[in-house]
Amino acid sequence: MLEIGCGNGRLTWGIAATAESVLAIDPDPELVELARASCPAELREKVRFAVASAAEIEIEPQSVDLVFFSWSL
Amino acid sequence: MEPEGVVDVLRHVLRALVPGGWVVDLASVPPGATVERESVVVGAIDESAFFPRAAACAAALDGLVLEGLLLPPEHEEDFPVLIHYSSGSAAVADVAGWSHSRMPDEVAARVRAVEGSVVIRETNRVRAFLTAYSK
Repeated sequence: MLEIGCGNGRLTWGIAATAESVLAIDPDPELVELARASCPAELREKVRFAVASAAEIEIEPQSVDLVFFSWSL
Repeated sequence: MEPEGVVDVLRHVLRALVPGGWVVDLASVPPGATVERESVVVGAIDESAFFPRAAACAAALDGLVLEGLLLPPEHEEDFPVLIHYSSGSAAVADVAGWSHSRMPDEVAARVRAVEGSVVIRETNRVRAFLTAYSK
C-alpha cells in the first residue's frame, strides 16, 4: 500500500494494521521524522517512510494494491 | 497539492497500481470546521479558500472516471472527525499551520480564552475507486 501525505503518521498505524506492507510518504521531513519516531514497534517491519512528494516519487509500475490520499489531494 | 497539478499526480500514481487496484481519497468537505468546548460551538474556522481547491481536486478524480481510468466510486461516505486539544491555545496554534484555512482573529481570541480542552469538529469524505483493467 502507498499512503500519500502521511504527515505525522496519525492514520498510518490504522492502515498498516490491515496491510501487508505500507510505504508512507510526505514532503515534510519533520513530519516524516515524527511519524518514524512514533511508529509502534509491532508495525516497524511493515511500514517504510520516505520524504517525497507524490509528483516525484518513483515507484515500480503495478507494484501497489492501494493508494491512499490522506487529506493530500 | 495545487489543484492544477492534481491530474498529473494522479496519472503518475496510477502507474504504480496493479490492474484492479484501489484509489482511496480522504478529504475535508463542507460544512467548515468548528471549535467546540463540551459540545458548544466556540467559533468557526474560515475555510472559504480551502474548499474550492478541495472541490477542484475531487473533480480531477471524477475526470479520471470519465476517462475510464477509474471506475465510479465503489464507496462514498461522509463522517465527522473530532480533533482533540488540551487547550484552546493548542487548537489555535495547530490551525495556524493548516494550508488555506484560517481561524478569524475574533474566533482565535475566544478559543484562546477557553479553559480546558477543546475539540475541532470537521466533516470528512472518503471515496474509494477501483482502477479499470484496460486503458
